[in-house]
Amino acid sequence: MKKIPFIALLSVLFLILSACTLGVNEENSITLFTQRHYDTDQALYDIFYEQTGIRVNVVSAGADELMNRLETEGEDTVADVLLMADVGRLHMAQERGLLQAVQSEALEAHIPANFRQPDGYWFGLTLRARILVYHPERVSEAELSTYQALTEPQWQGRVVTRTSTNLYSQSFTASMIAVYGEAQTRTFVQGLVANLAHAPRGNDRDQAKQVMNGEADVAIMNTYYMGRMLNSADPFERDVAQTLRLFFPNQETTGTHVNLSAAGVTRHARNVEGAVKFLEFLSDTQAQGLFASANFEYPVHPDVELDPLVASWGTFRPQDINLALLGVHARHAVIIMDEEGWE
Amino acid sequence: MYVKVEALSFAYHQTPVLKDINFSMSEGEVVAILGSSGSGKSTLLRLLSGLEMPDQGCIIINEHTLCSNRVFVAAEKREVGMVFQDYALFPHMSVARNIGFGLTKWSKETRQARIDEMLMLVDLLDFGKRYPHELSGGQQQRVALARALAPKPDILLLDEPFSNLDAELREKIRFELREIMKHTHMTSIVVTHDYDDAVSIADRIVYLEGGRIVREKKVER
Amino acid sequence: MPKWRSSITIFHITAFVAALLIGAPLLTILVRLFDPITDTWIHIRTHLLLTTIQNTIALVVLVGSMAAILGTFSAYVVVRYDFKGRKLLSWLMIVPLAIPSFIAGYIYADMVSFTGTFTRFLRLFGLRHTFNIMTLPGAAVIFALTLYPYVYLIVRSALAKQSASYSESARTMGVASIPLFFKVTLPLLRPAIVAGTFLVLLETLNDYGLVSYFNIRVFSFAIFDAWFRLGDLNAAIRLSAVLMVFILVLISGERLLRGRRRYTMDVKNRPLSRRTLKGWRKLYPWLLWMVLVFALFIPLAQLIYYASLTFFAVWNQRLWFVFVNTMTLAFTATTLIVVLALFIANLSRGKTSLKKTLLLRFINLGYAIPGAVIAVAVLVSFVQLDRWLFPLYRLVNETTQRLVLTQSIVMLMFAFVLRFMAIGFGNIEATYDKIGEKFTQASYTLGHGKLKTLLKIDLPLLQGGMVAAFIIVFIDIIKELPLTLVLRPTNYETLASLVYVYAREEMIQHTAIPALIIIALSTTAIYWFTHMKVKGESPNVR
Repeated sequence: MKKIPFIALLSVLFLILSACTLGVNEENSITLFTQRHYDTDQALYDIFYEQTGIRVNVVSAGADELMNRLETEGEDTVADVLLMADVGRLHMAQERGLLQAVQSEALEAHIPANFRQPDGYWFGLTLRARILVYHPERVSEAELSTYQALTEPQWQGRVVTRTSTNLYSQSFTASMIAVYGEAQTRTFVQGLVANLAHAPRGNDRDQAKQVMNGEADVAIMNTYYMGRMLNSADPFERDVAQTLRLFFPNQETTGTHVNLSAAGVTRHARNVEGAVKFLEFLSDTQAQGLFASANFEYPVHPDVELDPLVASWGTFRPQDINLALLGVHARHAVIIMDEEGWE
Repeated sequence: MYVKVEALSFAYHQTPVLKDINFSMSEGEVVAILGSSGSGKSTLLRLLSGLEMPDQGCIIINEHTLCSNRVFVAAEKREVGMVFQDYALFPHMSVARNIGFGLTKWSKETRQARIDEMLMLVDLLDFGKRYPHELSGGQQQRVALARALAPKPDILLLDEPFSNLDAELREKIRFELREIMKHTHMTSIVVTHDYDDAVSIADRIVYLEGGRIVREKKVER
Repeated sequence: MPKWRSSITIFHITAFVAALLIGAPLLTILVRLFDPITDTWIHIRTHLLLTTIQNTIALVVLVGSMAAILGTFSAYVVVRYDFKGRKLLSWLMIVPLAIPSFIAGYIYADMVSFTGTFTRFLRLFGLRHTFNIMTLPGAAVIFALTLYPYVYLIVRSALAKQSASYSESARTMGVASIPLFFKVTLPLLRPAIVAGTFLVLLETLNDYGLVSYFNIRVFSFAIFDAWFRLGDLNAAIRLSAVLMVFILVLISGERLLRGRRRYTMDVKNRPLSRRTLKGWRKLYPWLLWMVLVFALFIPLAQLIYYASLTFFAVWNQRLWFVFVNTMTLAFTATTLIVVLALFIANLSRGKTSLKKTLLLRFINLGYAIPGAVIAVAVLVSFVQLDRWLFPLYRLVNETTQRLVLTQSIVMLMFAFVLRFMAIGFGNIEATYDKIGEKFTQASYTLGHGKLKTLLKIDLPLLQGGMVAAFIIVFIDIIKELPLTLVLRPTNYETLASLVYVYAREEMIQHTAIPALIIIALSTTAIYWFTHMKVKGESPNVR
């Protein structure tokens, strides 16, 4: 039995190794708290470093973890930029005093006004729509019109969507409150819940698969998941995405619900100047293409060309609201969904 | 008097186990403490060895006042050898290392010599490299004896030395044990519940009942 | 006199410090309960609390009964019958423990999804049927399949120790084999089954990965949901308190069931001779192999297939860093736990006072508290601690940050110690109990002091228990999710958290490689644990 010294030796070895893996923060650097982690992002950060000499340290985690961390750390945080894939969360961060307002002509020029917070607390970077995905053999495009139409009797037991604990569902419902008010939203949620094929389950890809499988005929889900499934490692997922069709609802009425990946400068950022430069860089033409196509999203910069796949889905009209409202109504949306039994 | 126990009392969780124990022994004498289970005989042994602290009383061994109201000497500081009921031979050490375990203050050479001497004494000269579990019950007992005797203690304490042996072996070991104790002129206390054990090994029998000494009897040889 | 007296004092101090360290975070929860009630809490209470409680009870009952049956049956077959491949099966039945429940959950949910392997397999036969396992019963099955080895291990060792005389005496009285099982064997095994099932339930209540993925509102899920989605720490703390009451009821229930019964009686053991399988009983081993197919082979095959699809995307330098992180963290935390456990066990051994009982209860409480609650408690306490210590930090470094400990790995380590101490301590304590005090006392009478006795006698004899404690804690830590997720420092990823992140990003295929590494590490550790031979294995030399 010589295991104990052996274990001790191993422990020491790993301690030394791990010490080597801990990076040293450089003088001119910013720290990015981000929900994204695509390999192509690192390439962008490298370009940014070449252009400005500012190194980007990345902390990648879930939105809630990032926000809780930021809140707990308070003024001692290392974060300069907070980037999250849901506008509702950014609003919550702003409300909790985790962000600061910054002014930048470049940012205002790059980003349309409804895709950024009016006072400059956060700026949208990429855009995705929550659309209807249907099986062409069971649903004809002509049958589809609006989100609200899905609450009609002929859709009984034919609709699937994600759980109410999911951020996308929350922002979706919040947008309904922003556009139609609370009473109509409640009616909509009631009707939607009544027409669901089964209790919500699974992620966005699962919604598409449930339609493919015939459990339902229409799914409410995000555009980019169709893109990601088309490029999946699993050949059978690619199959699903090739069979199903997309539909942008509410084109004749209030527009399709969109959500942003957006970023803001943290309240206690040490390198505000670097942080703003980084946001300007991400919203500029050079970075926008790569940044958006990494996740098959739409760039916010109007002059940037779409990823060919995204372009193939056609153009659409988004809801005409300032997206900051998604955050304003987020909590209310959760309460309505819980009360109306959206699981 | 070589050993003197005076007014010794001990209680476990407020229940008195030993009450006012007095007895004495001369050097080289072998005393058997005879009592049924619960009579307090094992506790007496643990007090003598220093594994328990008495509530009252004194133990004087070889002019060392080992224990009184003021002075308590812990087990490891006493010159007391003990043979445990189930021997407690260290299973991860060879027989030789078991015997040498108490000889820390000895030099390397004298230590090896002492181990050999002890192995010879208990007639296990060829068994030094064996491990305890490779020995028979009787052999284990002899190793335990050798280990206790090796550091030349002032007194040897034996706790039910025959309880783990079968009847045939018992007879033989009793005889051997007495031979060894007499040969080394070792002052010894044997705790037992068996009258035959006591008679065959001891010079004197002390009867313990309900935590008190009820009588003493010399063994005629 | 001095040595004797001082040891009591050290014991008291240690007990006090341990109780304080473990108690303080829990006390924070208690104190926060008196904060004013928030709207969120009212919302949770009116709309969600009942479902949470119902789901939790349903899950506990389902998982508990399934794991108990599975574990007891497999242990019985392996111990009582002789058949080809018995030894291999006896070991393989433990291995599902290496697969974290949440990983099994991801894999199975994916397999039965429309594009999943299983669904496609059915389609080969023209069956267009899909199963929905992302339900409460589905989750219960997965928990049972991955956690039953706890029952299996404990029942197996109890069965092996159960003396032949019990059942043989019953058989001479003319009791047939099946009634025999229910009338004699099973009641004697009850403490072992209850103990194993209890561990399974604690693990189930601790899980966050699986229930959040399946969207099953049980307590751990509800606590994080209140904290994160509703942004209300206060409500999360209240939910934690309700869960603690739930667990206390469970613990007292277990104690009540056990009563004054003892696990084994000190009778001379003559192990049962194994019987050969006859008639329909020949199916028994095949049933066990079926369990393994579902609990082990299918998930592994699926993971290996996905690993082949994503090998180039995942196998890179980052994975190596994550691996090193995980190993360092697990080794350091485990060493810390084992050393501390040894220290406390050594100080408390042989004493059967009320103080010791209380200390044991307290330490064991850590394992009973789900990660979600510990995460809340530890974070809140560390932020407070950092605020108190701030002036001290300033003395060392003028420009220091305030949250030094909170941002360091110390916080996660502390949480691990809190949660897993009971396992380390339990193993060492059990070994101490087994070897008893006679060797230590023999060493004292041979003139050795406390320290030397500890080093020369106790440690070598305890080695088996320490290695066992080390391995079990190690496996638990590399599989651990909720604490790691919430308390890890920035940029600090472990294998388990990496799996979680990939799964959350809907990249199930990418979870395969880190998941396989976790499983390989755990399996190796389990193999080591079950095949180790310690010198002096049976210290009861007779």
